[in-house]
Amino acid sequence: MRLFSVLLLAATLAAQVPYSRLRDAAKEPGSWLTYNGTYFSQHYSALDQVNRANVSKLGLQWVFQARSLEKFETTPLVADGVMYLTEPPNNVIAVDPATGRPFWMYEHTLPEVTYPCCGKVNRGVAILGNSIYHATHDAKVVALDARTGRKQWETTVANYQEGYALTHAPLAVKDKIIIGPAGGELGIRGFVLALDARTGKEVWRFKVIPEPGEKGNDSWGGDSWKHGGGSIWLTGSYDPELNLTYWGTGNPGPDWNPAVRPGDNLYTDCVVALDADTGELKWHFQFTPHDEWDWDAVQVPVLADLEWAGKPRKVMLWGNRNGFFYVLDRATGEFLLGKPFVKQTWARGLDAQGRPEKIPGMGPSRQGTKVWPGVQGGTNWYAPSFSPLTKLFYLTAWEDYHGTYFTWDQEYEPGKWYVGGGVKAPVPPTRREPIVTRGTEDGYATIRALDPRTGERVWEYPMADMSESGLLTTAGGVLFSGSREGWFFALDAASGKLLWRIYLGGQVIASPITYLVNGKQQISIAAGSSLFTFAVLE
Amino acid sequence: MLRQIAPVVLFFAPVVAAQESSAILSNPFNTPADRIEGARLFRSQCANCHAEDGRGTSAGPDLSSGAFKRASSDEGLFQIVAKGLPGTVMPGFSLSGREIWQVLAFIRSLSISRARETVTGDASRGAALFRTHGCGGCHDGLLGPALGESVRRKPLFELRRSITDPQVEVESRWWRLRAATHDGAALSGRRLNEDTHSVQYADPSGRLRTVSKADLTQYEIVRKSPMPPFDLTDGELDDLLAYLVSGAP
Ligand code: HEC
Ligand code: HEC
Repeated sequence: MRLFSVLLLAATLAAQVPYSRLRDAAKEPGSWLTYNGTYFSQHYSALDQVNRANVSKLGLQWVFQARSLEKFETTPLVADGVMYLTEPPNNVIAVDPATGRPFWMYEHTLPEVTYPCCGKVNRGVAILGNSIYHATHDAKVVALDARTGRKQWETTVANYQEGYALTHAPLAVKDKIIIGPAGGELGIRGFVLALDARTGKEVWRFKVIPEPGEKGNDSWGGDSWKHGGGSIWLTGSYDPELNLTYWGTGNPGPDWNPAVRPGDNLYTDCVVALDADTGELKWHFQFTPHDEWDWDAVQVPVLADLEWAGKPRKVMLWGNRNGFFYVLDRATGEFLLGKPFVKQTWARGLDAQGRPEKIPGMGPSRQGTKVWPGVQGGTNWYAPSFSPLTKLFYLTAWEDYHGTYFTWDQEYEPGKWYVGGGVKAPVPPTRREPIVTRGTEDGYATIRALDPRTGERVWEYPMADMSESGLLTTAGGVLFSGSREGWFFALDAASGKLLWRIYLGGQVIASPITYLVNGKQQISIAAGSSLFTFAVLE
Repeated sequence: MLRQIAPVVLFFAPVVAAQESSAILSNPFNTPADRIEGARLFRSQCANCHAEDGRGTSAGPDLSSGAFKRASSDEGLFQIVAKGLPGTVMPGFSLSGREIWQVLAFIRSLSISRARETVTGDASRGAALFRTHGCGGCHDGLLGPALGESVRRKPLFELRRSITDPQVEVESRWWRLRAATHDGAALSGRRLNEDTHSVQYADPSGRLRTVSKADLTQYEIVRKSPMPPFDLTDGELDDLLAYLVSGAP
């Protein structure tokens, strides 16, 4: 009895997930400690119990059913025998990963109308110490006790009535919680914000849209910076050695009326490298200067250490919505390589600095301009993967997919859409209907493996419909993904060959994760309105 | 900003009350000036998904037909615009109650201008033509569209064009398949659904089937309409359309 209480005391005093565990998450593949798996965001796991030989024996362990019909974009965390997932719009649930039985639930009360743009979605949480961090549609960050779900603090980071909403999982770095808002379609001004993990007090704020007097403001004609957009849709990455945190920024506003915002529109459609302690901008790279098509850099920055021209190099791999694949030096931002990975008709190519050479006349027009890729882009927010085993970069691509882009004038009004145009495309951006009869001539999804040293395609796995599923690769030589059709499947990461599939009956619009439960490897994926968990059946 | 939200709340009060008394609240802002303001709001707030003319894009459905899937009353439409449709990308809007009514007045005016297409033919003569040309043999909702639904979804000039030239625009849900399996069987029918690994179809006897693509040696989608072009006079077409509008099957 005495021994028991001593143990209990020890457990309560020790911080559950200190920063060091997040930093070394790759060495702890039995857990899934950050939204992107590790700070390098490779969506790669060193677990190999499930491998090419036995993946076909995967079977269902349990199902968690969400109570919402909203798109289910959650990517759970798993730490110390607890899985933390979110359910739309803003509920956090701790479940037992062995059985799926919930331990506790936090339900966030939202105002009647919030503006998370394209569905009342949430993608996940962060864990640090004994707390779970969750970001909400009314622009709040809440800290919850990891054991009870009780609220520890709550900080409002922006005015949700002006179109600010938080949809992504925060990133915990050292003693800070980093987050940024959606709202680029409502004339917001984006930012990356660090809060003190213990108190919720603001520590630093990087403004995606610089104000007059700040560097970069001159890339905005007139007053256009005031509603310049630049959302943060997705969790960033972190390099502990360089102490830089990397974030992809969203499109400039209004999306399709570029005439009212002459200039490059910094720092929209960029990756920004920020000092994790101060938020100071160390470098930036702009994928689509003066974006005319709504091609946010809404991707996970994938960090990898590669041999580059005979020398080891710290790089960043990026398949962008604009249809180009990029390799950057992540210490300096230097452009190393860029190449289209899908059909595109808006740029002749990239120059030596990686700046696109735009083809004139491809912007939106009154009568409509047909451009490849369409508005969802060559890829979008679904997580790509890099496998240190195959040294390949994998992504879900939309091939041969176009849109017709229209422009019109529009005045800014707070809390309203501010997009200045529209796009007609033969393929819906998000589909829940289970009936699909269109042909693939209007575009199809395909998982592509690229050699990051050349940008060349090594293999592909084409599908009949589009896909918004993220990817996971493992040391078992397997790649897991899903599709809009409702399949969840495993491919051979070296060849793209289909090894196993199961029909889950609802679109996959999330990324798979893997972890150990009682020493046994499990894989979880959200599909439709449920989270499914698999393991090899004995 | 609170100023923006308050009118919505005020407008919900009568809406709720109306529901309780099961009376239908109709649009109090429906003058020509309201519709012009509604058109302006529609273009800035809705057109990126529903298109400037309300006919829909890949991101949002056609709102111009007067028939709605999610609501029938103005009150129901009001709720959709104010709160959005959970589980879809249709967002809620921070428009004032007045502005929502104005947008709805504009949307309703789209279908009213469609409905102005008058039918001049004779429905009973049309019914006879429908019989003698065997239209009903295909238009059962399985092999061909249930035409009562077509009348609600499409303007008359399009239906007229479909009769004289069925190949002009064949919606993909009416495409058929032609396929052969490893064991030599020939398959055909109306394609109902398809994914990476399988095809669902109705065979010529009307039976619903699934075939795995792995079992096929040949697979072709037939995009042409099985409907023959009908050589009808303008008067006969008017009669047929009058019959369809009067309540075809
Ligand atoms: C981001 C895209 C988007 C915007 C912007 C948008 N809608 Fe929608 N809307 C949709 C989608 C998608 C649906 C269909 C949802 C479903 O039923 O699956 C829809 C459905 C509707 C419906 C119901 C249609 C039916 O058949 O029942 C109405 C009414 C509607 N929208 C009105 C509006 C109005 C008015 C605006 C502007 C104030 C607007 N929408 C702006 C995407 C959008
Ligand atoms: C051999 C079968 C067949 C026959 C006979 C036939 N149809 Fe059709 N019809 C179809 C099919 C299939 C379609 C849908 C594809 C298309 O647009 O042609 C269609 C489309 C239509 C449409 C357009 C409906 C829509 O929703 O777009 C109209 C109107 C129509 N038919 C009227 C007629 C009339 C009137 C007759 C008789 C004079 C007739 N059809 C005879 C098969 C047939």
